Amino acid sequence: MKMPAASLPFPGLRVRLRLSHLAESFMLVFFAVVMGLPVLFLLWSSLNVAAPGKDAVYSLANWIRGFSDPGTLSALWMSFLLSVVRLIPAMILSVMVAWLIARTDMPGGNTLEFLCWFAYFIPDFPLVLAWILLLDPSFGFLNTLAGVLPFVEGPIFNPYSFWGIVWVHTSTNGIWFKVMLLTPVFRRLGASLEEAARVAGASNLTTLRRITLPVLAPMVLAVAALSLIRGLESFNTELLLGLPAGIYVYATRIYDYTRQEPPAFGEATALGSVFLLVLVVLSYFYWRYLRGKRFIVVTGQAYSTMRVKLGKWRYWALGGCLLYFAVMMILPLSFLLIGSFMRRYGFFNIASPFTAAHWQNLLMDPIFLSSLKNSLIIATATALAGIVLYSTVGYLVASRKSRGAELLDLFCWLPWVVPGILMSLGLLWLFLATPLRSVLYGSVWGIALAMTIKDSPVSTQAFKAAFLQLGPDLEEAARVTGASWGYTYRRILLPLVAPIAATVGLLNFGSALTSISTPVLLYSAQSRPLSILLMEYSFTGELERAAALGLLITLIISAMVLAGRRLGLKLTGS
Amino acid sequence: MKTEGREQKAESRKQKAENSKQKLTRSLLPAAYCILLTVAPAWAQSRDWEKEWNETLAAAKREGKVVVAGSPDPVMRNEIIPKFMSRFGVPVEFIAGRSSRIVARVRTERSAGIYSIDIYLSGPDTTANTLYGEKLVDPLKPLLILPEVVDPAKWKTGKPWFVDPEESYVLRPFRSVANLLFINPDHVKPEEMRSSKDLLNPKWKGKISTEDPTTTGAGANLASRFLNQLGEEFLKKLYIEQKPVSTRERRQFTDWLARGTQPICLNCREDDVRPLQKEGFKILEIFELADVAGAVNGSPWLLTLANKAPHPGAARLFANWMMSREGLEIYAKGYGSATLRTDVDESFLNPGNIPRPGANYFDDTDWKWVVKGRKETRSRVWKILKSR
Amino acid sequence: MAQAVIEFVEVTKRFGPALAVDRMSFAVAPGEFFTLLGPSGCGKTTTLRLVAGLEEPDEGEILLNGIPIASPKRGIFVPPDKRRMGMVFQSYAIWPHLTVFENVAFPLRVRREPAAAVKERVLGALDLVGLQGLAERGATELSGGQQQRVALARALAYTPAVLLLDEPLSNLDAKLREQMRFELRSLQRRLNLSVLYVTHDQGEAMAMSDRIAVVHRGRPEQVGVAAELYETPASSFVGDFLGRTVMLRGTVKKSAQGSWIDLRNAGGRISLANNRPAQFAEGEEVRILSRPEDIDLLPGGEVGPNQIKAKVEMVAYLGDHLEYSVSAGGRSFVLAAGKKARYPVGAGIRLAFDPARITVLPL
Repeated sequence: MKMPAASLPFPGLRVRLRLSHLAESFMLVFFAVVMGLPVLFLLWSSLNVAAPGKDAVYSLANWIRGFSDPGTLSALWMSFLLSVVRLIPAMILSVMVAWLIARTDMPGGNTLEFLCWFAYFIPDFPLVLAWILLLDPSFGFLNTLAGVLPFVEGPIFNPYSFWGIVWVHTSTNGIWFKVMLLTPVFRRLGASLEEAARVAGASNLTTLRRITLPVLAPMVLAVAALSLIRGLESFNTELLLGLPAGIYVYATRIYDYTRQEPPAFGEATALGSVFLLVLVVLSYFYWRYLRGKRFIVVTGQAYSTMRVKLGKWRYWALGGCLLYFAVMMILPLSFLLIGSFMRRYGFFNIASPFTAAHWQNLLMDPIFLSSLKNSLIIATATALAGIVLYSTVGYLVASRKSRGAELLDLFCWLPWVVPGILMSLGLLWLFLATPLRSVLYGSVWGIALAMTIKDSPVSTQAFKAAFLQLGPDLEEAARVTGASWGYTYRRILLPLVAPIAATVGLLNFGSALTSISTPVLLYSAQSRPLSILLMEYSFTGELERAAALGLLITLIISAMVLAGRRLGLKLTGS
Repeated sequence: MKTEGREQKAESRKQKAENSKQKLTRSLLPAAYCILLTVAPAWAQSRDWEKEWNETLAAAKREGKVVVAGSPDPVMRNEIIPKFMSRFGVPVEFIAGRSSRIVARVRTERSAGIYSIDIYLSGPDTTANTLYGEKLVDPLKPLLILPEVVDPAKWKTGKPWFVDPEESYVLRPFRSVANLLFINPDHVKPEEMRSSKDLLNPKWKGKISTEDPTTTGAGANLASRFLNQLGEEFLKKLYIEQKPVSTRERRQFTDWLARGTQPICLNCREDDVRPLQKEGFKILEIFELADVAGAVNGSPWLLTLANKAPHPGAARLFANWMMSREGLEIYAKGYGSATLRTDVDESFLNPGNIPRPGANYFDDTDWKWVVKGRKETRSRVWKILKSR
Repeated sequence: MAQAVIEFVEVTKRFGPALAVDRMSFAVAPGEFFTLLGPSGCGKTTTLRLVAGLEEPDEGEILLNGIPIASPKRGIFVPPDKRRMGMVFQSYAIWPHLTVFENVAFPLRVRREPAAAVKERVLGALDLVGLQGLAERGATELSGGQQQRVALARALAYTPAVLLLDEPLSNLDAKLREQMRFELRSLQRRLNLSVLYVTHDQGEAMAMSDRIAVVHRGRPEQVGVAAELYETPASSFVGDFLGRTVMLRGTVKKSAQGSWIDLRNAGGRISLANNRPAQFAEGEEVRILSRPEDIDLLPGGEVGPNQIKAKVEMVAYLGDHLEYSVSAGGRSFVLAAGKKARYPVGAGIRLAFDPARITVLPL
């Protein structure tokens, strides 16, 4: 703080400042422990080249081996190319869709938003297979359809290609996640800024481009950065579609090292450190772009829910959205749904191709019910912990100018730049090394903590952007009103960011249900979640049962999203 | 303390084995132990093993469960676990995951002094190089007591086959002929696939699928075998010039095989293909080519006993039962693998999977091959394939 | 009257079941400062937004220079960016990511004016509102009053057909508010702007406007120049809203001598000579409204014509004058009086009304 606390004239003030300072220190220590320590552990282990159980020998051999592999650099380049190429159209589209949903009178916006949530949590593996069924050059449904046209010769679509990967990515996780994060932010923007631009002579699109987007830059950029990093990390689609075409990506290489026998976590950590570098570069640009700019947007008076009137265009906009959703989501999803009822996913020409046996087998599986229970406990705990933890972190990061807050901001990115399985390994080590291990190790609580940590980038960024847009004078506001810091936070700020809180809670809930790589080293037979069951099914080729389970998980999340939105709307009082 | 522990670990394997043997002999009725391993009068054997068996059973019940780690496994989940439970009233907790993940987990747990696993069911690489190589396992041989398990007459190998150098740790109950490749006869006639040269027929350019040979797994293993038996030229021609389509996803190449888009599949798996055959797909296994000898392997797993197992009684019970006719038969059926037991019903197996007596097979699970030969060959394969 | 710049013809706007604007009709002449005055929630801001094109009317017609810009029955709706309006929002809606210059230049740039012209006009507009030298400031680094001027400069940078002002002064402190009132009015005169002004402050409205429409429940209750509204309010709502009123009840009496209102309770009568006696029937109950400054205080005694009896309840000494709280006819009200005659608390006095300056309304 600028002023030493002791010189402040009011004794009460000192206490309040100390509380927020205390919160910051606590969070710093907490995240340093749960995020920093596992990463340090990984880096340290990557330098230890001795065989397990032997005396440690330190050298850079793992790093040299990882980076001297001729495939590494070309894979890194391919990863960047793929990520950037699919990021740009996806960002444009998701901004458009979020704007249409939140800021215009386009009908059906809420339904579309819900569909995004739904789509985001459909497991991507069966969805990629659905696209293969649709696009494969020799048997793809769409190619067969197109073949009927007179001027088409040979297959026109090929998923096993660069553009095939881009396309399928756009479907599996292209805009859903971004729309989910952007829509609540768009919704909270003061309408008068846009209206002023409209009256000043700007068309709707110009207003969006020159006013709305720049004003929302903190969140839009954060979403872009999150997506870029997620894009670099993804490898499922690339494995299924890229490998047959000889396209290797960086994440695949890391994945390869982790699944070698014996696993080469040292090399994997070495390669993973590139993500750390990317993070530092991205956050530097983010910081530079936002430096000196203020984003006071949501004020009491400017807050308005007036929608932009699109006139007759709103039906065209809706039509466009529906078309996009139909092609990108409904089409593969219906294949997935059908697939879960097929004797063999995608084979229509066998005798009696349809069966309900996979669903029956799923529901009859003796460990299904206990896994369901575990999953629900983990997901609920993760959602609640995520809201409490990251709203505090987001507030501190947004409102405090201290070094500590900057460091905290950076810490919160770590779980995403460290590949999932490595983070999981680091956390396992951490859990075992703490006195809390009897509580955390192998229990649902340990998995819930890991999932809470895993989701920190998106949760922190969402809260941070929301608090930034509420105005930078939060600390002062708290003082002026004479309310305690905790009271202001709880009674004034939290309700204002309730839609973001609902979003974060639901996101955490959903990813806790679907994540595989984080719990895989942490679960025990008593805490096995549904996602591990899903992993077992797909690992052993029981794809149809995996599809059924995937759909079921998606349904559970959808129900939660519906309930959560209702609650979130009640909290905002709108 | 730590260094002490390391020093201890650094002790020679033999000494360690002897130590544990001593411990066991002290604790586990030395007389019975000797009798079990020597040929003894039947009456004495039966009386002693029953006593010990009952003690084991009682201990297992006291311990409450047995923790088994292995690959995700429908046979384990759907059949073994319920069967074992109904037979002994002891639940099985199955920790499933890719073996590299299990290894990572176990190593970290152990470094923190936690021992959570009783039994490993794992592939040869993990078993030989990690579990055995890093001394995470205890001798299992002395713990086998069930007469039908220790009875030499019940085993094709004349005894339970411990494949590790000490013949005491790693138990291999399967020896089954592995498929060399699969073809879809609608697209590839069986007579078009007689020798290794047929694989290089330009007609099959882009029509062959393989599991990615540039990463550890079945794809690299087969490539290593080709390099070993047919040389570098063949390897280059097959894996580079023939432009095989590679993937990591077994479901993908199995589907390609069934649809005929890539009608020659180098790494399809028996247990994936069988359901397809049941659905009426015409898929042919090819076990050997004129110039490529057939191979046997120990899939689906090798069995080892974790050291410092938290439920030693239950682990012993499980290992004994697993090696019994009942236990192995379930796996033989579920996976279509030939066991080494003489009394397991093999009528439901594909005759091609059962090794012909006297025939000369390449053994893909051979200890030396797994520990040394394959690793070296594999790195040669990678060098050749990546230099393209 | 010349062709109206803005004309509302029976315009209705609903939000769900609620009527925000109810068959509103009025017209703004060129160069006129026209104010919509009313309490919050009366529909005045919605009216302004209808002009700007931020809301679409449900019924009726809005004309700009005689040309319909919104007419549901004819299917016409000109979007806001095509209406050439200048608008100052209550919150100013200064774009936080732009500098002062960029904020003001925005309307010119979206119209693709050449850069040189943009610069000239932006600096001109900033000059006009007294913000010389602040062009490169970040917009959010300004004080409230400066932000308000930026918003005004932005609205004036191009030549708007009508300048729409939505309570632009409500966020300023009292002193600045007075100053801006004056500046706004003189600016409007100088540039001969047509202004549609929305406020809830009657002082502001009367000080600046050429004409005022007092809006109540979505309808203009009375439209006219300030004096007209003040002196002869068409309803007690208008009377009350524009200032303090004294209201009494009475009964209309007619006889050969003329018409008067009998104020039984206050023991007096007020002649109705100049107050359209024909409108009221014999025996009708009515209300009398008078501005307190039109009432004279007289010492107690016999009540004469246009006088009633009253009693002093409280006296406040305010330096230059005295303020009496008096009760008459069962009602209390506050009247100001000079210091020449002083009445103690409890004294009986007479109140003299000016029959020419009262308003009689039906009950």
